[in-house]
Amino acid sequence: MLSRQLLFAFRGVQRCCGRPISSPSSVATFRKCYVSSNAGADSPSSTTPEPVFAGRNLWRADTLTSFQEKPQAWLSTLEDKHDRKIGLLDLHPDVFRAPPRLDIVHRNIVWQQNYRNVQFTKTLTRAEMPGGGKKPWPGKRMGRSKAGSIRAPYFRGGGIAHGVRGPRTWFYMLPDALRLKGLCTSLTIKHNQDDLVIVDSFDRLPSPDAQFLHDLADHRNWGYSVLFIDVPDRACENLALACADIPSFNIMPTYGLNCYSMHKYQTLVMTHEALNYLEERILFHLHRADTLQNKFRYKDMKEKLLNEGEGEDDPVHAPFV
Amino acid sequence: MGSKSATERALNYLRRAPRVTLTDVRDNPGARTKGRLVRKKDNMAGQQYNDLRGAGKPPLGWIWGDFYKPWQRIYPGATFFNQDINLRREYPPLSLLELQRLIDLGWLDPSLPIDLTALCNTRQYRCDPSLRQFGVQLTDEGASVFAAKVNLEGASVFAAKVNLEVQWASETAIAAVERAGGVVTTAYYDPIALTAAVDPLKWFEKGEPIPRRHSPPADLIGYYTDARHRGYLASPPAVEAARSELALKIGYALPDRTDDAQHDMLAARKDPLQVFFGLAPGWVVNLADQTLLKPKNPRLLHYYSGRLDASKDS
Repeated sequence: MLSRQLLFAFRGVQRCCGRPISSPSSVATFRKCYVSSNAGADSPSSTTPEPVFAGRNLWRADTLTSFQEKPQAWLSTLEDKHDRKIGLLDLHPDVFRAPPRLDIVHRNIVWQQNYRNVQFTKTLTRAEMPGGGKKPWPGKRMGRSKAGSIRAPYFRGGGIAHGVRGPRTWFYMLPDALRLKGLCTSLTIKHNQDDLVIVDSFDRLPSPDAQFLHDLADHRNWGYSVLFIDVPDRACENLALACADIPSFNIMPTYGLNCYSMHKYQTLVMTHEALNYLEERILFHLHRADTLQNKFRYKDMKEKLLNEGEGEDDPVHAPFV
Repeated sequence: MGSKSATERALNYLRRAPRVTLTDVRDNPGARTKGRLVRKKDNMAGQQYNDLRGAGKPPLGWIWGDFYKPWQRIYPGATFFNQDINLRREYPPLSLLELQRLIDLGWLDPSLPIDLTALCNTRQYRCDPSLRQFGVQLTDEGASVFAAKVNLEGASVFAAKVNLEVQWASETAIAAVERAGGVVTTAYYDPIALTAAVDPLKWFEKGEPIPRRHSPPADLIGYYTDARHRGYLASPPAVEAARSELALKIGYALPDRTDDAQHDMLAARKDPLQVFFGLAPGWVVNLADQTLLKPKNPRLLHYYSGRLDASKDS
């Protein structure tokens, strides 16, 4: 009884609506349901993986509507330069078929470019310049223009009148709702314009040869620039070595996904695991009970910001900002 | 073309359009407006040494006369009616329809007791103690649909047996819940206990002990001791009798309570001093270390036990 009571108590402590309740997925009648969500996770690279046609659990997706196209994506593999499709995945319409709000994407991109800007320069006014307290010459009889101080702006070496004033920041936080919508819109656009590729796993790449990856991308008509997205921030060895030699191919973890990168890079290549993770996280935030419009106060973050460089002192090298 | 939604039409257009790049995104027209620039006419406009410039200006609402008597100060406040307007209690309503909607959409879990805290945690219902709001008022709108919970596929229909704790409930609302097999209790929360109940996280972050609930004021004691209102201070036999009486009065059959799976949950009631299930008044919840700190001082224990005898030092 006490343990159930404690359960009641801690439910009361939860601020936001927690884990969503999942609804049963609708499996298409003409598809056979094959094994497993992690296609090819345990099978060796020499054997071909079983094709994956199991329906994905699309949480709280409106599957009955006939007014919205149901987004789907091929699941392919990086084993070979030929694009062999090993599955067909249903994508969540709230994430991959969201209204294409280009203005929200614009706001996200502008925010990303500006919020980190800090200006360290400061110009001195006539009051801050050294000297200049005394009237340099009397106003009349001199035949010279009137002057009150040698540091006035019209003087050579004088103060600056409307100059750049001191450390300044363009910091602001875009509301969570807009950042979420921006991500959903960018993913929608990428998927809609055939620039989204979903791959089973990056560790199936057979060699660290950059030429192989280049040929693969060429054969599959990927763009000039490709962004590989995986869940962990430690990349697979072969992929990391290959991308190191190709400047326009880069790897990013899911927590770094942003609107700017999605539109800078022409093609987005994502793992199946990354897709599941992104969908789950985006849907969690889209459906949570808390407000998506938080006040970001400096005093809440002050201690964390001031202690940011704590463990980064190096005896030889200057700090990297 | 016209039958598709705007989203679908936009996406079809984008599919045929070239790749969207960083330079292809811009704000909607009219989203940003240029600020007004200061123009020559915007400074003193020739009034630097005007006689009226330094004079006192009439207040807003001035209707010709004394500067101290603008329109809004001429008429005295209402003294013959609504004198107690600031003392009245409000109970923001929660209809059975809304409650059913919250359960169906997954905001509330009917397998756990539903009290004010659970409702406020959904963020779909709001009760603000600073506005003299004293809790949930259960209204009977939607009483006819309250018994049913339907799945998306329309497969199974079952009764929503809920253990509800509210602050005010109408007779028909109580009847609707009991008819479906649930339980309603009305309980009083004094303003400080209410502040804790409405936002427990904020209260725990303050580091203050969980408050004890005080008894209702004189004009509410009658309400909460009455079994017809399912008051928390009424005796359980009286509440049972009132249940049967209400069933006879309205004309429905009381469901039998032989379902043992939910019996424990339906029988769960808070102590009259208790604010949260499973937590006693006086305890301090340490969220950072996930521990509970319980008082040991006899005076504190005496206070939080709610005993009326004066033996504080025992």
